[in-house]
Parts: sequence; C-alpha cells; structure tokens
Amino acid sequence: MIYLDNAATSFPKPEAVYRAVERCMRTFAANPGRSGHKLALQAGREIYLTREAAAELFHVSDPFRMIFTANATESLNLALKGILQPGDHVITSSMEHNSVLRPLSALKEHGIMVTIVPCTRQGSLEPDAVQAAIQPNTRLIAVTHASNVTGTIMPVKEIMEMARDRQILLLLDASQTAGILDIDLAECPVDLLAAPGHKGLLGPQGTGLLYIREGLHLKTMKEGGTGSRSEELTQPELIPDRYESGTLNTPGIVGLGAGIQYVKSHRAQIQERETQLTRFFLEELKKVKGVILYGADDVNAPRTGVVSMNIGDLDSCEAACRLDQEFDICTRPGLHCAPLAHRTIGTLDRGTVRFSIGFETTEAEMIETLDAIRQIASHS
Amino acid sequence: MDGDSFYVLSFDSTSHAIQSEKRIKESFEIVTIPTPREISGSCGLSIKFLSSDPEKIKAFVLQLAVPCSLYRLNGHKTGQSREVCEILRHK
Repeated sequence: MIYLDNAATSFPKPEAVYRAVERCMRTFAANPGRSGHKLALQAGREIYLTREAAAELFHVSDPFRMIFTANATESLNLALKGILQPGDHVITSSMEHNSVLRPLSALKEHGIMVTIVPCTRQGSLEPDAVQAAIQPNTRLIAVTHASNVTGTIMPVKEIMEMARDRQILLLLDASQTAGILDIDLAECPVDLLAAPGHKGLLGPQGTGLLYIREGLHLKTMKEGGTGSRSEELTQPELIPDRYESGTLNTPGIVGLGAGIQYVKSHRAQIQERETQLTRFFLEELKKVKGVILYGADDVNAPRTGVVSMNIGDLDSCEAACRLDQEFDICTRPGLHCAPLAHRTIGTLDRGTVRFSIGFETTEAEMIETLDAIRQIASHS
Repeated sequence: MDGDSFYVLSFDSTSHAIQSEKRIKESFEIVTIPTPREISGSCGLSIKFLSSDPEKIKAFVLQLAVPCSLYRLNGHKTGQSREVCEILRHK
C-alpha cells in the first residue's frame, strides 16, 4: 500500500509516537493536573512537556500561549469567534478551507462583515489584493499558510507586515505547514496560529493547537472545569485554563509531544526530501499525456508536498477509486473541503485527485504511483 | 520561625504549578500537593518546600513567570485546621 493522503492525516507516525501513546495509556493516563496524586501529576507534567515542545518549535517564549484543542478546526473556530465582534470586518482568501469559511459564514449572521479576496488561477494570494480589501473596520486577516488543494505557499510575511502596519490582527491557518515549514513566530510574529496535531506535527488525531499572542484576550467557546479556582462559578481568566475546560486528550497530547520532538530533530531533512520528491513527481506528471496539473506551473515555485491533478475527463472520484482498488494507492479525490479553492482553479465541477507526500514517502513509491497514473491515463 | 512550620506555594492554575515545579525542583527539595484547604478550597495544586529558608524561597518565587502566593503553615493543627500566614503574593 502507498499512502499519499498525508495532507488529511499523516500516516504512519514515527515509532516514538505509538510508544508514547501506549506508555501513557498503560502507565499514567489519569486526569491531568487534577487531584494531585502521583498519576495525575505525571499526566499534567507530560502535557506540559508537549506544550513546552510546541512553544519551542514555533519559537514562542511562553508555553502557556499554546492552547490545546481537538484539531485545527476547533483552533480556528476559537480564534475567529473569540476575536470578531459585531461591526468588525474580516478579510480572508478564496483558497481557504471550510474550517475558516464556514465559521465566517456563521459569523456573518452576527453582524460581522467578510471579504473573500480572490486568488489567482494558480492558487496564489496577491498581497496587493489583500491590501485593497482593507476597510476602516478591518479587525482581522485570516489566511492559510499553504493551500490544501494546490500546496501553494502564501506570502505570509508580506501580509503580516501589512497587517501590523495597520494594527490589524493576523490569524494564520498552519494546517498544511505546521511541522513541515520552518515557522518562527519570533521572526514572523502573527497574532494567532492554528495547527492540527495529526498532520505535519505527526501526532494522533484529536489533537490541535492554537497560539494566542500575549495581550490578546479571546471570548471562550466553552466553559467548564479547569481543576483550578473551583470555588468560582465563572471561567478563570488565566491561560491556558481559560480556553482548556474539560479533561484534555492526555494520550493524544503525549503522542503529539513525541511527534513534535521527531519534527524538531528531522524537519529540515524531511522538508528537503519532500520538496525533491514533489518536484520529481510534478516533472514526470508534466510528461504524461492527458494529465492536467493545478497550482503553480513552475515546479520550483514555493509549495508543500501537495499535488492536485486530473486525468483526461475522468471524474476525480473515479480516478482515486481506481488508484485505490487497482493499484493500492491512497489519495484524496473531490473538493477537499475547500469549494472556493476549486472555483478559483476551475475544478468545482469534478474536484481533483490530490497526492500528498509524507515524511516516510519514498522515491520508489512515487515511481510506482507515476506508473499507475500512466496506465490510467493511457486508457481514458 | 516555628520549628515545624513549612512553606507552601499555591497557584491559580494547575498548569502553572506544573511548570513551576519543574523550575523549583532544580534548586529546592519539594513535593507537589493538592492545595491545602486552609489556603483555598479551589482544588488546585501547590508546592510544599521541604527546606525552610524563607529568604531563599522568597527570592526564588519572585523570579517565577506565573502568579502565585507563598504561605507559611503551622505544623500543628488547631482543631480541624492549621494556622496560615500569607507572606508573599507574586504578580
């Protein structure tokens, strides 16, 4: 089996991640930080270690600015709904995932105005177009770091500087880049960053992070037990407690910690290999008659290990189904939860087949995948 | 100070207690305990110092990154509870 759906969930995980989850569940998965007995303390300590590792990875000095969530969708909901108030204007792009677009649609009903800046047909966002959309009441710019459809890396630094100059907040959706690209928040200080634990950070599903810059105070999405200030009936103000009500996913977070440690020591090599494999794959695909590629034409343009394509006039679901059933290759067809991205690149009618490379993907697997595509293309 | 009083540092967040525990351990012998009821009924975590040099403890506490309160507790219980004295509120 060849797994090329890492942009949805990375698979497999580093061996240390499996071991960490099992060790946690078997030996100390009590209620973290509650109760004060030795297992609860160990669970709390191990969660803190993951928080610290995540802060180090993104160059954040205070680990408590890293809030644990269930996934990037929850992080994005907390960020958007916690910041935007009636009368605010927010700018986003046409390459966003539904995890940004749907919360914004819901917020429109509460008096928040939304501008969706169109991207180019190659899926890239022009900073000038963002600038042109700024209004006097623009409170937030929410953009993806890289498209989950085309892999296009967005000009985040330019947008960050533009936002900072105008005192507009910037929320970065790092769903496709956390653990994959070098994200240094000391050098590129965005206000909010949402990341899933189960993609590039190589952790288990059910884990996510939201970085909240110091000084930003968000409305809560949930209130409840925090193991602290129990005598008070109102939600504590202190972070991380304010945003982390309810028992955390201790085994998941401990596994995420192991994933982040792996990323910390291997990220640069993984990125280099993934880039090489992606370029090789794109160059070879360009030679296959009938293959239509999306995203930047230039194989050297900045992009993650994500390639979207179609074969002749075959429906993307049919192509992916054949790859799976005849060739044992796992890809993702359809709209990838990003309908406006497909409208942008012209594939709203049939979606795309998406191949997303992971940290263990080999050149041999990409050669085998290319052979399968050639076979399908020659008969369609 | 009384021969058998001891010092307890209490926190508003269990995450803060756990971060501080890691730092304090490098300089003091401590145990992490549920916050004594005499300090607060909030079911949080506190750090009990097994050594009793108040000046050294105070100087260290002032360097911590999170809000916390240092208390001196009497080793002897009077009835159901013990005497508590807040000696430092940090942040």
